Amino acid sequence: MSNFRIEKSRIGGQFLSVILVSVVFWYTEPLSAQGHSPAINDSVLFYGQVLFARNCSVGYCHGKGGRAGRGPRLRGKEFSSDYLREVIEKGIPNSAMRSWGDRLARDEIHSIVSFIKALSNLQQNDPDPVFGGGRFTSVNGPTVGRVDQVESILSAPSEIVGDVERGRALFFDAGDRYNCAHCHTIDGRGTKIGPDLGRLNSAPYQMLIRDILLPNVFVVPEGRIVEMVTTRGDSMEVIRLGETETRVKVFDITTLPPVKRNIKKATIQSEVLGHRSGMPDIYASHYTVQDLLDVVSFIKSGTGAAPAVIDDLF
Amino acid sequence: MSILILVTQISFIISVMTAVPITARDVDSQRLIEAASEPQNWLTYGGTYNAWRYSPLDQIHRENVTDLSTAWVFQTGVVDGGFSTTPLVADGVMYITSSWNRVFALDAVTGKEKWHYYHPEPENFGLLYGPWNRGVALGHGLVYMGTLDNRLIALDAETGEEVWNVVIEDWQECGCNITGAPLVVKDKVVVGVTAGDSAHRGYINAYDAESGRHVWRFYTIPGEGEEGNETWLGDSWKLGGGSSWLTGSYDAELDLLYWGIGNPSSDFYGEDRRGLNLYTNCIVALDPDTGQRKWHFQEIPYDVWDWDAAYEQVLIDLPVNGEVRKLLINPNKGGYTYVLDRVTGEFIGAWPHAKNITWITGVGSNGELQGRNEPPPNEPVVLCPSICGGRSWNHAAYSPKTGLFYQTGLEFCQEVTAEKQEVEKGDEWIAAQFELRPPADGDAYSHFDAYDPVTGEKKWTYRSKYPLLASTLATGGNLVFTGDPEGQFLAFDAENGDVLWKFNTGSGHRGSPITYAVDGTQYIAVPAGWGSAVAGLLPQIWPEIEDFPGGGALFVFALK
Repeated sequence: MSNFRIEKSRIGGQFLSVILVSVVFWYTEPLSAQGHSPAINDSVLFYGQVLFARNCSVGYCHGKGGRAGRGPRLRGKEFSSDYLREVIEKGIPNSAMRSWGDRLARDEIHSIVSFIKALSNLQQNDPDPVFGGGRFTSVNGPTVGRVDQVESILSAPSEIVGDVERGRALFFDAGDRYNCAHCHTIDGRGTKIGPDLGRLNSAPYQMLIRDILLPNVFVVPEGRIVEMVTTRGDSMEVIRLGETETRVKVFDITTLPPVKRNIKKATIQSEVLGHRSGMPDIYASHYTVQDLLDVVSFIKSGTGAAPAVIDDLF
Repeated sequence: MSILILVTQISFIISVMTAVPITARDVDSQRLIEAASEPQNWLTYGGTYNAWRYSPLDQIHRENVTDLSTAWVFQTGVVDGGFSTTPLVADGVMYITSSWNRVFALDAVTGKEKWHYYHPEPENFGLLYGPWNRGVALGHGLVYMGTLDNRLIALDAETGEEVWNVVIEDWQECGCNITGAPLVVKDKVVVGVTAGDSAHRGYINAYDAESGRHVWRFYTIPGEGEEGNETWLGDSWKLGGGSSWLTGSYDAELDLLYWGIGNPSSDFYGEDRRGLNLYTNCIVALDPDTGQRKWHFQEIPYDVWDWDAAYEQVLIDLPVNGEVRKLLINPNKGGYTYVLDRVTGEFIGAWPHAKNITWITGVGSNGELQGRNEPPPNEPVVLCPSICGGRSWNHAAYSPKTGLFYQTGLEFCQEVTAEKQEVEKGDEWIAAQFELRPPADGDAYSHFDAYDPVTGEKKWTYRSKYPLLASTLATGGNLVFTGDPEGQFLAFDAENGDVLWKFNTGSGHRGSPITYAVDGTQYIAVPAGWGSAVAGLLPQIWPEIEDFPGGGALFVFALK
C-alpha cells in the first residue's frame, strides 16, 4: 500500500495543494506497447512470485506455490490469462475470493497471472520454480527494478494542519466510544445511521466543523431523536427507521455503539419526537483542535482537498 | 394397586404435564447454569458451561448402538467452508447454523424447518475467517448469532424475527469477524472475534442480552499505561493480535468466565514485538459482570509458531496428589494439553496430545517452555506440528462415567520461512511461507485418544489415515462419537476404544455431534460437511483430499 501524505503550502493567500504519490514500476525489459500482452520474462515471473507469496498464498488461501489451501490449488492446472486477470481483478461473488483490482496495480496483476500460468506443469509436491536467479528471501527486500513510493513534500507549514492518516485512525478508532464509524460510513466502511460522509465531502470545512461541534443547530427531520418508553418502564433514545405491522424498527442510541432493534409495538408505551439530533453534542470537549482538523481532513481527503488548517475553524 | 405404583404414576403424569408448556422461550440464565439437570436438551455450546460435551443420556449404549438408524436428515443447502456447527436443542427445537450466515430452527423429532434466518453475505468478503460458523447461543427467548460481517444478532426463538443487531466493529477495518458461538452468561451475551492472523488488537465484548447495548470490552492486549502493556515492544501492542475466536466456559459457583486467547501478530515473525506479549496465548478468567481480569495464565510467552490458547476450557473437579482441585483443562494448538487450577490460574501440569513436537523439548514443572526452537527469519526450517496444530479447534469431550478425556491428535509438520511483513491495520499478517510436510519418520496420520485428564496417561488410541478434524461427544451409554474426513461417523466404546458402529454420511466431518431426547427417545445429531482452512491445506500431504466432497447435511440417528 502506498503511504499517502498530503501537504500544502500557502502562497499569497492562494491554496496550492500538492499530492504526489506514485508507485512506479519499471521492468528490466520494457513492457510491450500493445498493453494486452506485456512481455513475460524472468523478472516478471519473479516479481509475480513475490506478489503471489504476499497476497495469494498467505494464510490459508492458495498455499505456498499454489499448492492449495482454503482456496483451490492453482498449480498443475490450465487457466487462460484473461480468466485469471478477471477473477483477480473482480473476485468471485459469494466466495472467499475478494476482488484485488483496488489493491493491486494492473502490472502487478499481470505478474501474478504470469506466475500462476508458470505453475501449470507442476505436480502437487514439486519444488517451487526459481526465476531470474533470484532467491526468495523477504517480500520486503528489494524487488527487481521497482522504485517505490516517490514522495514529495513541498512545504512544512508552521500552523496546525489536519493529518489525514491520523484523522482516519480517529474516525475508525475502536477504542473510542464516540468514534465516527459507529454512525457514519466513508468509502463503504462503518455503519450508516447518519449521513454517508463520502457524499458530504464537497461541503466546506466550516460546515463540517459546525455540524460536528454544534449538531443541534441544523437537524434534518429524520435525524431527530425519539424518546421511547416501554411498558416495562425502560426509557431509550432512538432514531426511527420504519415499522412493520407488529414492530417498530429503530437504532437505539441510548448508549454507543448503536443497536438496530425491532421493538414490538405492544411493548411501547410512548414515543415523543424531540428536537435534538442523534449526533452526540460532545465533540467540543471530546476532540482537541488537532483531532478535529485531522478528522475533517480525512473526510475530505477523497476530493484531493487540502487538509484543514486552523483558519477553517472560523 | 400399591401406593408406590400409584405415586410413581402420579409423578409421571405430573412430569408429563409440567413438561408440555415449557418452550425455548423459557431458556433463562438459571436453566443455562443448571443445564446438566436437563440432559434431554443441549442448551449451550459445550453442552453445559463446563464444556464437557457429555450427556448422561444412556438409552443408546454399547450393546444397542448397532441398532442406530437415520431418523432424519436436514440439508442446509450450503456446501462450502465446512459444516462446523454445534446444534443446540431446547424442548424439542433444534437450532443450527451453516456457512454464509444462516440459522435454522428445526423440529428436533422430524427435522421439519420451523424458520430460517439468512443474514446478508458481506460484499467482497475476503477474510481468512469464514464462511463457516460454529453455532448459536440461547437465552432470554432469543437466539444469538455472530456474523461474517462482525455483527452480533439476536433473533426471536419462536419466529426467527430479528430483534436486535449490533456492529462490533467494521469488519474490513479490523480484519475481524465472528465464526464462533456466543455465550450467554446471566443477563449478558459474551462474544469473541477472529483476526488471529491479522494486524488487529483483540478483544472480547459483552452485550446486554435483551437490548443489545454494549456493556463491557476486555482488550486481550493491555493499552498504554495498563499492566502488561510493557510486555510489548514499542507500538507493537496496537496491532498485536490476541484473537478470541472460540467460545469460553463459565463457572457459576466461582462466577468466573474463562476465555482462551489466540496468538500474537504477526504470527511467525516476532522481532518487532519482543516480550511476553500479554495476554496472547493466555487463559484469562474474567468477572462476567464487568469484564475485569481476575487472573491469567500464559501458556506460550512470545509465540512465534501460531499456537493459540483459544481452544476449549474444560472445567473438571479432580484429585491432584490426593486433593480434589477445581481444574481447567485446555488443549493448546502446539500439542500440549494444559491443566490449571481454575480458582487461581496456577499451573498444575501439561501433557502432550501429539507425538511429533519439535518447537520445544518439553514443558517444565512451572509451565516454562524448554528448548524453544524458534524459526529464524528468512530461513526455511521444518517444525512440528504444522500450522494446523497438534490438534485442530474441534473440541474434546470428558466423561465423568469413565473419567476419561477424549480428543484427536495430528501427526504432520511443516517447512516454514518466517519473514517480516509490512501491513496496515486489518491486513492478514502471518509473516511466513509454509508448506506441510510429513514427519521425519514419513508417517503422517491422525489419532483419536482417551486420556487421564490430569496426567495425560493414554488409555486407548484409534489410528486414522486422514487428519481427524471433528469434535467429540461422550454419553452415559459409555459411547464416544466423532467423524473422519471420508464421511464416516464413528461410535467407540468409551472404555476401550473399540469401534462399535459407523455410518457413511457422504461428506467429511468438521463439526460437533450432540445428543438429546424428545418424548423419551434419545437422538444423536451430527453435522456432516467437509471444508475449512485446515481441510484445504491437507492436499499438500494427501493430494486425494482435494477431491473429498463438501457438504452441509445434518444427520440425526435414533434406535430402530
